[in-house]
Amino acid sequence: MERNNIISDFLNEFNRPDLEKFVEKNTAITDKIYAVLEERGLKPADLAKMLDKSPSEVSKWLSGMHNLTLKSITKIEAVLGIDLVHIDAQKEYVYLKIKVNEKKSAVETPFEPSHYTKEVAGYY
Amino acid sequence: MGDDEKSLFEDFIDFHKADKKWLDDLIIMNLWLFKNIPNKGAQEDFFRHEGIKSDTKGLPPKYVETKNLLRLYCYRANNNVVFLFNGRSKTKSVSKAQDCPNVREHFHLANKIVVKLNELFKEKEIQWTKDYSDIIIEKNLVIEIE
Repeated sequence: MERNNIISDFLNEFNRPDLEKFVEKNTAITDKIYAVLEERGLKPADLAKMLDKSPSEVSKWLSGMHNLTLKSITKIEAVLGIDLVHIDAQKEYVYLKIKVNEKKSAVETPFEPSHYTKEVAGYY
Repeated sequence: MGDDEKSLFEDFIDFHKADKKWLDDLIIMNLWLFKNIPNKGAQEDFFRHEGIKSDTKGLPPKYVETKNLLRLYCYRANNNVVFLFNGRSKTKSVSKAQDCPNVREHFHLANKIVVKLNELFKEKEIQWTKDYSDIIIEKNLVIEIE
């Protein structure tokens, strides 16, 4: 019995792209936080102080398995001055009206002199 | 363990994958193991301490929200070698594993196995490779637990 691939066999059996993305993004976010902390010579306990949170709360956030809320993510972004989640800039739409060989829409009718014109003309 | 017998970890997976309530947590735990351990190594912080006079560890990590009550007992030998055992869902109202009817048996068995594994490491029945990246173990080694 081949036992080397118990985990990958199980994951193949239950293919869940949504959960895969969840773990992938969660890991990417926590990895980036750790990288920024290391770059600045900070520890998770320092981040906890900056966030006014307990060290255990922040350790939970950084575990990689915690379901981080958008509020927690943006709090970390604000105190570290970084972007953890990038959203594509909103596209600006400019509407242009282009008229190509446009014909006048008014229907041409035969000329009819007005009554006034006729009356005036009758005096002469 | 014979070829047709289930390992403890296989039993852990088979037991929980049949229950929709735990399936997502089980998948997340396995994805996390699959993606993190090979890339980052089995860092100590990844595990919760679950030992009684032993180095037994548990997953998920200590600080993961209490809503996730799946417990997988294991032994982190070093950054490269982790033995995965069995586990169950821990009762919410109970703080100690030994008081929980679901996990008690798996918790005690994991602790006994870890004590035995440590003895086997000391007696060189289980040996490290030169760079400590893996272990050398006799294929049909039988570990007797009282």
